[in-house]
Amino acid sequence: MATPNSSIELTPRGKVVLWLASLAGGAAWIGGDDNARLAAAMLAAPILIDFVAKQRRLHFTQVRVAPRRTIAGAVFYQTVEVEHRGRRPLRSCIFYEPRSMRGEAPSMLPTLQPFEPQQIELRQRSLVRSHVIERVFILESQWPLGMFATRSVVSSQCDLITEPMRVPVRADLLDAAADAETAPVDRSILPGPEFQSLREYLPEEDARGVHALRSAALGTLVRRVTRGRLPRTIGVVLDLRRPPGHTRGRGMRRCEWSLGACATLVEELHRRGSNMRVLVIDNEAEQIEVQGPAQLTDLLTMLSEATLSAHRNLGPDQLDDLEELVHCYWIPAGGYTKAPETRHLTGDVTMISEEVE
Amino acid sequence: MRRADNSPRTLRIIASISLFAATVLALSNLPASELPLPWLLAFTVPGAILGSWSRLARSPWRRALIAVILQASACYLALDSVGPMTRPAALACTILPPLAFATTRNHDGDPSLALFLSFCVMLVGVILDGIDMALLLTYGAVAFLSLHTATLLQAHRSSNPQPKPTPVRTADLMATSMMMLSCMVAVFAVERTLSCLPSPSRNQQAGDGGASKNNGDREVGLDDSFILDGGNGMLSELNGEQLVRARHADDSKVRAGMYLRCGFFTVPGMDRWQIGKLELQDQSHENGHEFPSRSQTRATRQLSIERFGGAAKFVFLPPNPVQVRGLSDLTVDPLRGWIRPKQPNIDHYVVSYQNLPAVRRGARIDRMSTRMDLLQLPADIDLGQFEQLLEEWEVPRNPQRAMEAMRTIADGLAITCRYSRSEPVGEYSHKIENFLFSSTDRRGYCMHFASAAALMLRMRGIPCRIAVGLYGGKPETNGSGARMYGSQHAHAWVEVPFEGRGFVTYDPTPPESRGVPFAPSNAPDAGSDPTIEIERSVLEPAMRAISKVVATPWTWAIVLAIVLVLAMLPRREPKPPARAQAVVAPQARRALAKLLRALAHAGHRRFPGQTLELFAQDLEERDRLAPEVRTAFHAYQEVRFGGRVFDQERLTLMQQGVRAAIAMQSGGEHRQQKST
Repeated sequence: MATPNSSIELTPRGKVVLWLASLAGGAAWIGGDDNARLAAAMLAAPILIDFVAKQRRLHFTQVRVAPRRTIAGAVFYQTVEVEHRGRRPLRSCIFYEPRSMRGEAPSMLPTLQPFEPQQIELRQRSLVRSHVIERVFILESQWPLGMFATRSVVSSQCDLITEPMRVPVRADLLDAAADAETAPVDRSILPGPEFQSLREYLPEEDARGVHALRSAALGTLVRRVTRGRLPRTIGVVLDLRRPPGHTRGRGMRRCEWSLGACATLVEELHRRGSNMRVLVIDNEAEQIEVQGPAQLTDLLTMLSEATLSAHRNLGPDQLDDLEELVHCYWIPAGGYTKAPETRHLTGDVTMISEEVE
Repeated sequence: MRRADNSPRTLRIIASISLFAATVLALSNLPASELPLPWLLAFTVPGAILGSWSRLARSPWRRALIAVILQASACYLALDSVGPMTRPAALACTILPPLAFATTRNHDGDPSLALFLSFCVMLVGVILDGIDMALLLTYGAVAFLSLHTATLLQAHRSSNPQPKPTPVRTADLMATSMMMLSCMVAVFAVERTLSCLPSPSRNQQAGDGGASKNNGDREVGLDDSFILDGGNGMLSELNGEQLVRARHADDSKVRAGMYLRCGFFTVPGMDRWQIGKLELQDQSHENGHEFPSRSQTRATRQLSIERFGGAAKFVFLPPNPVQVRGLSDLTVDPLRGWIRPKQPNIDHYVVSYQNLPAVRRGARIDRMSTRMDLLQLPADIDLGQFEQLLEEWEVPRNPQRAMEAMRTIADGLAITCRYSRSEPVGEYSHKIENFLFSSTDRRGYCMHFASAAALMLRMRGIPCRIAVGLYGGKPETNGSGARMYGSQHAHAWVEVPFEGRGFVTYDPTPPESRGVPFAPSNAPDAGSDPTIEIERSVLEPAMRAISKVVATPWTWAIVLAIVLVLAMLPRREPKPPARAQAVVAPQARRALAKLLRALAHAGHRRFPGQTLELFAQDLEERDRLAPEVRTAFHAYQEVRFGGRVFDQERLTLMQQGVRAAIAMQSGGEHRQQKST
């Protein structure tokens, strides 16, 4: 759907020519000079023709675009279908989306015949993390003579989800949950643990960890030590609360970094085969279990929409589901690094913040 | 870093050619008499060299130095070749170097600048030399094309092109052509509309009293034989046997048929003619005045003019004067050839003039005559009678056949009227009507002949004026070849402006009455030029009425207002054309069937009545919905419900979905085999 009409305004060239035509016309009127009249006519004619022939029905254009997910700052190519519903063809039109084409050149539309849709490919880059439900495009044209420029805003009901920009997280932070060796050996098809070293086998340990060849060679029981095996479920707490006494309007840079770190962390853990129990604390605490790609997508969508909230205290039972977990990551996106709730978690807690980085 | 130009090559070529053509047309409109070719080249070639040779010098100071050297050298060569220019031409030349530079360099904003400068040059040409309609229309068309292509190029350069550019359709070319024609019409319409506005400046048509006190009304003697009323500068003070002695510097004979003009009249009347508008200025030299030379190749002759008491207030000039030396304190109108001393004096002066060949048949009327208003007719003239006489004499209507018209009118006057020193009398109120239409005796003298001929030529669209002065003279007996002119040699004739010739003398008075008649040497044979028959048509009155309406300024003002209002009216969105019932392509149905079979083999069968969307939801809940399968479902739904075309892209998506479904099936079989 588009705005009900198109706007028309003079271009710099049109302004200059109009000024000159006015001066010449004034001279012709005052002096009665034939040559001045001819000059005024020759200058005014292109303005007149451009005004009459100007494409004023840009708002009769319909844009269809598919929902899109992207990462903030990343280039993506979007195919858009444009259909002009006017009586006359639309010529020499420039098409762009201000939100996602700020640093990119607009696209030159081919001549749009009435009621003949055309596929247009746009090179775009969404710079701001967001979730918009309506995409706004702009059509501009200076056809035919460039004295006037017409402009129309065309919108399309369609989602554009811009996920947080991924930030690098230190490897040791990512492996913090993988240090636990107490997880039992399993024969699942998930990505297996990495062999790290050998050590003496201790009684009452799982015998399946014994390295048979090395034990025979050494004459004593030796078991393999593995790294990288992650717990089945890892907790992630994204704390969007601002510290007490701090306003919501500040700390955006930390927030964006933290959201990017959260996205990086969650994706990495998911790639490694772990499930995540994510608790997002803002005005309300919302928990989401990330077990598959669909839940991961939902979480990333939630991150795209996340905003900082004012400080509040958590309820006593809101961390119950995380207490049973072996390891939790705590991301103070709002800058509340000394949250007392971290002490309630029985498992290991790894803080991920910009200062730690 | 400069961005790569991704505009179509054809468009760039058209833009360059149209810009170049506009520049050339504007330069060709400059009058060669005021701006000879050497000067034109001197002011365009250096700029063109600098614009086209971008590697001439990198440093701006060096480029400036080279520009100065080039320009100075060119100007010196031109000055040495043809001499100095007139002042208006010199002022006009200041815009030629940047025009040439911008045209040849053609970078970024140069086309707009070059187009504007060419427009200025075009205007200068119009001011100096009048309007050449064909050239103006051609320039308008080319300038429109240049502006249009520049707009398209700007749009291309500021945007990213699509991989498949659309070809130029015939409709696009038609639209451009229509707009070009509309632009021409718009120029005419706006010009006519502006002429509706009453000018607050004083009307300068009659007499131009503010220009000079010498330009009062003159009564030229239709009431008597060449006697004017008194006053400063009047011809009535030309009395006496000796007024002017004319002698060649080389003592060659002054020919008997030399016309020495001292004045002219352009505003007609049935009983009196007036001088009309003059644009007076000071003389070009301290010791005289220089007229624009008509011919660069013809030699000039020096004619020494000695005036006596009665001629002290006039300056007599032979035809095609080039230079007047020996006089100061003159007021001149270079365009019209008017020259008078500010104070009466009998200083001796020398006139340089050229003997140009006879005017060729088919010679064109000078475009500058449009500035001098030489087609005006008296308000109280009875056109019907004159028109009847013209048709009776078979005077051609085409102004391009001016020579033939002049000859025919002279012949007609010689047949119809007789020369006499007495006033014409008859039943009409105006003497000129008695001279032409009296039923008794159609007689008159030179002024009547000249007035009648001038009116008839103007009725045929041939601009002209009446000139007065001295003609014939008496040869001196001392063997010097000089001639002496007195008041008895006062005469009136007609002058017609021809292109490249200035005002050419045309004497309609019968030769036996006033010396050698006007007889062009290349007058066509009587039988070689077919007579043009005037076509009478039933539509002629209607065409006249239409042309009258078209020429009316208010018509165009109303049309412009209507067009603007219609352009601004809002329009409703048109209804889309009725689409045919969406018939799903058989290939899409087959691809979907294949996909569903593959999913069924993998253990995921769609229930009867279950929509694709529900089926997909079901698969997703069981975490068995591969992205390719989801995409394939979407592609089919776009075709089935969205009316999209089942193109190759969608076929590929569905095939990928089928492969993914088969992979699910093979993965399940593998698990079965493992478990067994």
